[in-house]
This record gives sequence, C-alpha cells and structure tokens, in this order.
Amino acid sequence: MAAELVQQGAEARIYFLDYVGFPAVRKERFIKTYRHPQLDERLTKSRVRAEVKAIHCLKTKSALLSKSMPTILGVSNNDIIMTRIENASTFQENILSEITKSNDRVEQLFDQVGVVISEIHKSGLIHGDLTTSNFMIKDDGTIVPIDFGLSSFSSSIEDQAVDLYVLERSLLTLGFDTSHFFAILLARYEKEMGKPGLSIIKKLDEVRARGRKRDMVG
Amino acid sequence: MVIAMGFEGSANKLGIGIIKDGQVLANPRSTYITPPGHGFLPRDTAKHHQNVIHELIDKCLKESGCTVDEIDVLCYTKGPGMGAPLQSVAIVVRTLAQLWNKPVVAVNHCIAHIEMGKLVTGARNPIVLYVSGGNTQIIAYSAGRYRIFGETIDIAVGNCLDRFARVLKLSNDPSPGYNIEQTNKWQKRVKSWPHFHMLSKEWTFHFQDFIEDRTANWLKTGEYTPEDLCFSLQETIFAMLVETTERAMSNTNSKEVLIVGGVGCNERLQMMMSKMAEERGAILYATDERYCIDNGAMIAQAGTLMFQSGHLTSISQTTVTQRFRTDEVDVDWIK
Repeated sequence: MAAELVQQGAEARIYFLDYVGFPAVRKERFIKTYRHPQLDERLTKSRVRAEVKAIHCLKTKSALLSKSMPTILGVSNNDIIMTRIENASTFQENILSEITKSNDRVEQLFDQVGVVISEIHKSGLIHGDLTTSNFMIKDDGTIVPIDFGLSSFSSSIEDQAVDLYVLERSLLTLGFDTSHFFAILLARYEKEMGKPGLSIIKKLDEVRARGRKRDMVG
Repeated sequence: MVIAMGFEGSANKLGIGIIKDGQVLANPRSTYITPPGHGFLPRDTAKHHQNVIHELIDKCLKESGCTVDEIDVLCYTKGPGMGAPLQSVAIVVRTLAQLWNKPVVAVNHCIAHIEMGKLVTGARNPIVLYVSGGNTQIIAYSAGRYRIFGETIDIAVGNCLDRFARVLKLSNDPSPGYNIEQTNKWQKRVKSWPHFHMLSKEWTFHFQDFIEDRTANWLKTGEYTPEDLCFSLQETIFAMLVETTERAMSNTNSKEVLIVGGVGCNERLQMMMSKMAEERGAILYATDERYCIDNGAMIAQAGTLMFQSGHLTSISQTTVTQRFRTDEVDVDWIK
C-alpha cells in the first residue's frame, strides 16, 4: 500500500492510499513529545477509539449521515484507515470562497450544517470539537462531519450547548462578523431538534454568559 | 518620552512599578501569604495592601531614582480581580493623582499582562496563553481587540492548582503552584496514574469541580502519594493547555506563542510549550517570575500605551470592577 502524505495537522497526519481498489485515507495520530509518554499513549488511544465509535454510531443511527460517513477499514492504537471523502472541501474553505460572491449560498451552508449537528446530537453523540474545519462539503452538497477524536456519548443539553458554543467561538477566527449566519444555523438546529431544541438554545445563552459573568479571582 | 507609575493590587500581590519608555526603573512587590490550607480572603488581602502600600510607594520611587515631578501619568488596575483589594489601591491612586496633580489611566489587568509580555520578550503578534489564578484564556489580536479564542468554562487553571495545593496542605510561600512544581520534582517515578477526568475541547477546556473530595479519598486510602498526584495533575492540565494552544496556532497560522500570567512561570509548562512550538517551527516567548506574576510595571506599560493613544480616565471615572473582559477594551495602540 503506497501512501501519500497529504496533510499534517496539529495532531494527525493524513495519508491517501489505495485500499484494494478503494480510495482510502489513513489518519495517523503521531506522538506529541511534549506530553508524558504514558499520558500521550492513553490520550491517543482514547481518541482513536472515540473516533471509531462515533463514526459507527452515525452510520447506524443517523438516516441522513449513514451513507456519507466513511467506512472504517482498519484500526490500530494510533491510526485509522477509512474510505476517503472524495471531491470535498472544508466548510471553512467554502465560507471563505462564497462570502465574496453571495450571502445566499453561505446562509444555505450554515442552515445545512445546523441540520448535520442536530443529526449528531439526536444520535446521542457530542462532537467535542466543532469548528469550520471539521465539516467536509462535497461537490454534490452533502455535508460530512469529521474529526471525532474528542467526541463522547451524551444527550445532556449542557453538553449539546457547549458543542454549539465551541463552534460559535471557532467562527471568531474567520475575521468577520458571522453572527447573522450563526443565527440561521441555530434556528435550523432548534427546529430539527424538536422538543429539547429551545432548552438547548437557552442553555447556550447560559454557557456564553459563564465566561463573562464569572468572577476572575483565585 | 513618558514616565508611568503603575499600581497593581487585584489579587494577593501589591505591586508598584515605574517604566520609562519601555525600561523598567523599579518594580517592587509585596505578597500576602496565607498559612497552608488557606486561600486569601478579600478583606484580609485588602488589609495587607492598605498596610504596605505607602512603604511600597516610597520604595518604588527611591529605587527608580525618579522624583514625583518627573512622573507623567499614574496607572492602576481597574479589574478584573477581587473588589476590596482593587478598591484599596484605586483610592490611593485617586488621592495621589489629586495631590501630585497627575493624569490617571485605568488599565485592564489581562491586557497589562499581554503588553508586558510583549515588551519583555519582543513578541510581535503572538497567540497568547494567559494562565493565572483567576484567568485561563487563549487570546489573539484581531481587528482592534484582543479576542478570547478559548477559555476555561468553569475555574481557572491557577485556581485549580491552588485548591489542589490546599487539599495537600502545601505551603503558599511563595505560591501554591510553585510548591506543586517543587513537590513533583522530588519524585523519581510515577507508580500509577490517577485518571483525572478532564475534557479538552477545541476552544474551551473544562475542569470538573471534583478535586477536593476525590483527592482526599485517594490520599486516605493510600492509593496515591501527594507526589504522584502533583505530578499527574500538572502533567494532565499542562498537556491540555499546550494542546489547545497548538490548535489555536494551527487555526490562525501563528508562528509565535507567548505565555503570561502567574502559572506561566512554571518551568515544566514552558518546556512543554517550547517543544510544541519547536515542532511547529514556531517560537515560544515566556518570562520569569518578575513579570509573569502580577506586578506594577505591567500596569505602567499598558498605561503608557493607552496614555500615548489618548486614553485618560477622569477622577470621577476611576472606579474598579471585578469583571472586566479582555475583549472589552479598544486596542487602538496597535497599528
């Protein structure tokens, strides 16, 4: 299996390879030398495990996402081989290229990402690391969430609200005001979540206020 | 040329510093130290500041070689911090401003840490990890503000370490965190690894408030020694801080990282951060206890920048506030 290194992120290297005729990726979590080896090993193992479990969960529980989620082909302590998401670019790349052209398309993207997040949460899963880099958008418009290393199983509205809060914070790095788009995402998310939707949005307000209202003293 | 005198008293340190064009002329400090097992309470801390402030002003002036006439501006910490200590210092500054007839600049404590870090290290546009007793934030400058990209959503890292030190009854002299660092230097080997349930998220980190009861139980059953626990807690927390900082750097493509705040003088944290930076081809900027820990010069430095870009605080506005977000201040001195 010849593998080609295509990306080196903060904690993993992504290789493209051909797996008995299928286009596949290998996601290898490398050793972080700044961490104590024992801690590093434990964290890496738990993240690989979390990712595998999350993908399996969405494949079996979400009607919307089951087809588009990659199939896992092999797993070890520090890497996963899975089918490749082809002809896709990140949510962030899409936002940055579309924002110069039309707001409509960006609004539509945020709306659809709201649906995808609701699917994740309705499956009893918390992503743990929602950012604009962690959604792949295929040419046909299908949205695939990725990077489940920090995911966990929970249906508590607190965890769901924090998940949304993490995404809201990550939008800050785009460098322009996205509050209008995020509001569209939240509205769609709330609708898709059904009954608990409103309580999650209320909880999100509470989470946002925590940083601001907390006493900043030891 | 500006000569600024800065007053800091937002927590248990009272610091007064004089800065002349980025040069620290004097920076004395007095720390209120409580017995092992006890934290510092606002009232007692304020009393400490009130008792030593006059002496410290004299000391600062003497060390700097400046006369009162030469000072251009008085700068003080408006917040965030503990109400009573902040108030005690603000009253003194307000009085001095009227006695000496000097303008006043009210300074945000967090921004002072960042500006002092930049001055001392020469960092230009870094990702800042601000980690202290009351704050844990990942900050970067963007469009006129220091933006908070990540922060703990319950307690600050320094507070977590302080509480832990209290459970172990470690000395508060010079600081609980320092003694945690020293304690885990004694131990040769980790026998076992307690599992601290801490979630590391991309932009927020979350410490569960269990430290007190769980630690006490571990010690009682003899499952872990204090040395094991100090080592494990420090390694786990710092790994999370470095990881989250790395994500912020990766997301913003930054090649500089600056650590400020009291916990920032921990050598293990600096070592881990420097390894991470090295592997990314980035540079770590860090300072030692003179500037990491709260001090007066940092208030003078931020005050100088604000003074030069026209921020003045009228006497009636020289109030304090316990909550004062880093991203509330217009940073118009960065071009």
